[in-house]
Amino acid sequence: MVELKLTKKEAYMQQSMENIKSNTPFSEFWRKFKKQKLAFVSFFFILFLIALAIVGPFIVPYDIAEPDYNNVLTGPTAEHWAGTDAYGRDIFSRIVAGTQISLYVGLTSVFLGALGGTFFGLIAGYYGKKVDAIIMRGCDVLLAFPGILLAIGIIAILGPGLGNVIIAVAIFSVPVFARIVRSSTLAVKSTLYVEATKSIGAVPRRIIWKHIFPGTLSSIIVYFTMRIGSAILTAASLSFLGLGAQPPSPEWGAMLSGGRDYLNIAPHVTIFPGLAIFITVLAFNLLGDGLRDALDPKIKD
Amino acid sequence: MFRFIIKRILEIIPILFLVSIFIFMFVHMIPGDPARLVAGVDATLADVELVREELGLDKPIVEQYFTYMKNLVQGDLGKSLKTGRAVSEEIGARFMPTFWLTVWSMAWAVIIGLLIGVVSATKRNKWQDYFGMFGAVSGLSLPSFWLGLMLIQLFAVKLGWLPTGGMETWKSFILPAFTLGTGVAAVVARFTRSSLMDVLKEDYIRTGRSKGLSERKVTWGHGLRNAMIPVVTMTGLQFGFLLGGSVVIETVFSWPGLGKLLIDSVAYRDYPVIQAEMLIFALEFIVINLIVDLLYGILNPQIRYE
Amino acid sequence: MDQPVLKVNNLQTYFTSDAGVVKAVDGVSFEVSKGETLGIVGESGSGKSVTSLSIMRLLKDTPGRIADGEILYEGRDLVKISENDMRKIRGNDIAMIFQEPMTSLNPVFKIGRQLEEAIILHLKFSKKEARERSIEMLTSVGISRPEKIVHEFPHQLSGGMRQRVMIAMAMACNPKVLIADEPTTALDVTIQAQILDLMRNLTKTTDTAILLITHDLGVVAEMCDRVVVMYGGRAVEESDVLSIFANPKHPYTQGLLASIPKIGERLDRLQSIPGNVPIPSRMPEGCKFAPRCPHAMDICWEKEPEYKEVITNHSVRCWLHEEVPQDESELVGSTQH
Repeated sequence: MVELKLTKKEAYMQQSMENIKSNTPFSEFWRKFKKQKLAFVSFFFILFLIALAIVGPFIVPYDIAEPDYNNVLTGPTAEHWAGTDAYGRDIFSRIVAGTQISLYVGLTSVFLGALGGTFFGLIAGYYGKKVDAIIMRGCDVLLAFPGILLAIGIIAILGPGLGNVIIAVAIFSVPVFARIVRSSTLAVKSTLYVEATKSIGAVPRRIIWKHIFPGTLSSIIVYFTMRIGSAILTAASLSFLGLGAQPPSPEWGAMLSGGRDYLNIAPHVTIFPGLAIFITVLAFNLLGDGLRDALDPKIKD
Repeated sequence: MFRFIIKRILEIIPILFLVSIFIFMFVHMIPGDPARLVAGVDATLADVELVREELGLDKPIVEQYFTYMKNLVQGDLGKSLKTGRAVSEEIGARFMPTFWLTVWSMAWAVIIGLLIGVVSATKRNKWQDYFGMFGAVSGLSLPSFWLGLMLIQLFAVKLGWLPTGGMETWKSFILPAFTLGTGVAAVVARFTRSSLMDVLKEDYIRTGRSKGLSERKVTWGHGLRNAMIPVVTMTGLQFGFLLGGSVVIETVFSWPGLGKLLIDSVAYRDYPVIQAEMLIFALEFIVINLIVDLLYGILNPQIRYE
Repeated sequence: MDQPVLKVNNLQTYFTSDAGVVKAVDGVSFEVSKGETLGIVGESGSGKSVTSLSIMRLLKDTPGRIADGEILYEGRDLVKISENDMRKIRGNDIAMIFQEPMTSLNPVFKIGRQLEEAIILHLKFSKKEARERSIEMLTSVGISRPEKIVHEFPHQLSGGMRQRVMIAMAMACNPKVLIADEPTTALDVTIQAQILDLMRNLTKTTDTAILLITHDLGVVAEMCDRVVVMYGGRAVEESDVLSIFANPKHPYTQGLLASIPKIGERLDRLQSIPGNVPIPSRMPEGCKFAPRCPHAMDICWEKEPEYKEVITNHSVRCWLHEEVPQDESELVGSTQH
């Protein structure tokens, strides 16, 4: 009888222990992230886009470069789901093939920008004083130019082309990442943990990479995702303006630009590439929002 | 407050200085010989040397910078390679159309963005909130040039209600201003929502309710007034977004503004104009941010009454 | 005894979260009469603040809702009346002072405007009359130069001054009940005494009933006529202030009292209750205090004791004061570790 009574107490104590064990940061993140339904769906949609970017050019039903003058500017049909353009090329095939370009431009440019920004941000935040002042003034100057204008300026110097668009977008992402990483670094740096590591004589580089960098990682991931959407938009805008990808590239912005002249007779030439840009950017933005809510309670509403 | 203003103005001086160096260096960063680029592809060697002297490119670089700045202060921005007219004239004629386009875009975007943000924050996790926030994230993801073309297709080509482009009547403003403002309205809505939701958690909001004030008075009177402080700062930063966006939108709508001039100049490699445009955009952005900072001071009594 | 002006019957306030329903306040009853000061004592997490917010119906923006019970103000049940009617009571009949004077005033409005708001709303004064009333109230809370203070912003005042302003604001419409939630916790010790004096003097003249929510038994001793001790969302002991201090019945109350350092008594370490209030979603099945109780018995883990009046005007919820069946009393002993 006594034993039976004691189990209630023991059960209580045991349950308390389990509660402490079961909450790892990742399971906590996954639990919160799964609740963000739109972000969850976007995540899988982006995986699908990545798969499409890899295999897309091999599985498209039509050749993306070969003109077909018998089928010029036809609207959507069973054969041509999104219609054909001024050269009779299948728009659906070109959009699928273009996924590669947009994702490549978005990912590389933001990756390079994040790399540079993280480097400068960590250095500025960790060393402080003069180093910080110089890096941050540099950021101020770059941020004094509205993003896309800086990109246009850079392209004016380097000349039009997709490669230069990547460089331009990367450069104007650098100060944004540098600022975020710097402020997170300052916050992490002041924690007791890093102070303690410093006092036992760890070398700066080790402190930065082992202790400060992981602490800033969650804000980097969130901004990285959100930035990809706007990088894809910027790259498409520049291609639309004739400064990025050049025809006959199936880049979505360039395709759209090509459709402008036929807006009144064949609007589908502009509608579908634009929809592709919109949905892709929307997916990245929704994923970014979801990650922000799940990862970073500081930026959270 | 006076000290605050002085401090802010003093703070932008080093940035202006660095920006001026950056823009001065612009022509020098172009791979190849700047004198040859400015003189044009067909120029003879003698022409190139003439241009080099005219631009002072044969002098030491520090001296070149001071000459550049001296000319700049006197309003001399050089000559357009395309038209041969003074760059200041070219830009002067294009400034107002862009200015009005950005002002109208900003005006509607801020009003609508604020409304959506406040409704979303007060109807948190209800359909109004989901609707507003999904609309906002969509607005953020729309390629503006595509939106512009779709609006032209619908309202100009199909329905014939509005002009396809140019700047003749007030009707010409509607489509470009709507297109340009969409992204900003989305950002303002999202930011207002999160800012107001933060404020509505504050203790003084509870104090307001405990006095018996209605929800409307608490939200619009006590809440929004506080939430506006960060929103104003963020809205100022969006001006940069608008200036950038104007380049794209002006091309779509054939708007006779600075943005279209910039794209035409890039295509023509008209470097003096590009250089001057970069300067104008940077200056405009810096000045707007200064104004926003001052507005921040006015809205925030802790700064106003130092 | 006077007719109670505020009477809370079996109040239940539940919070809904992903983890399920949490009973933040679970069946609390008490009453307070004209001119009387009732203390509600407990640690953070005991449900005392939620009780006060429930009375004011200020649970908006929290996942909480009043699930059951009555809150009778002059015979009207505040749980049932419309939001519109409730607004007429808030700040007018029942006013509230909060813990954080630094953040409880709106930083962008002048003091005068914040004071006048409720006066204009409830007493239907003109702007000029409201200004006069504000200045009169500021004078009564001991603020010198009130004509100047009305033109100042909260950040220009000290914490003690701001709490005086909060009191002036709460008392401006002559409320019948004043709820003070930890009114002095955030203040310096010297200021604390001044603020408590002020509250006592102000309410004595107006016969206002006070509901004083605090974790500080020193404040209770100084201010209160009667005390309700709360733990884990439940009232565990209630009596007049003298009996509570002289003869605490519940082990939790005894623990709270033991944790006050007494002057002249040298302790090697402060006596305090081991452990924390359990997370509401993890309340034990039996007595909520069992995991921390030095006298916990098996029955305490098994079943929750009833809330009973053991002596006249002294109620307690504890198995130590109930008739325990003989065979189980043998198991009394410290099983806590």
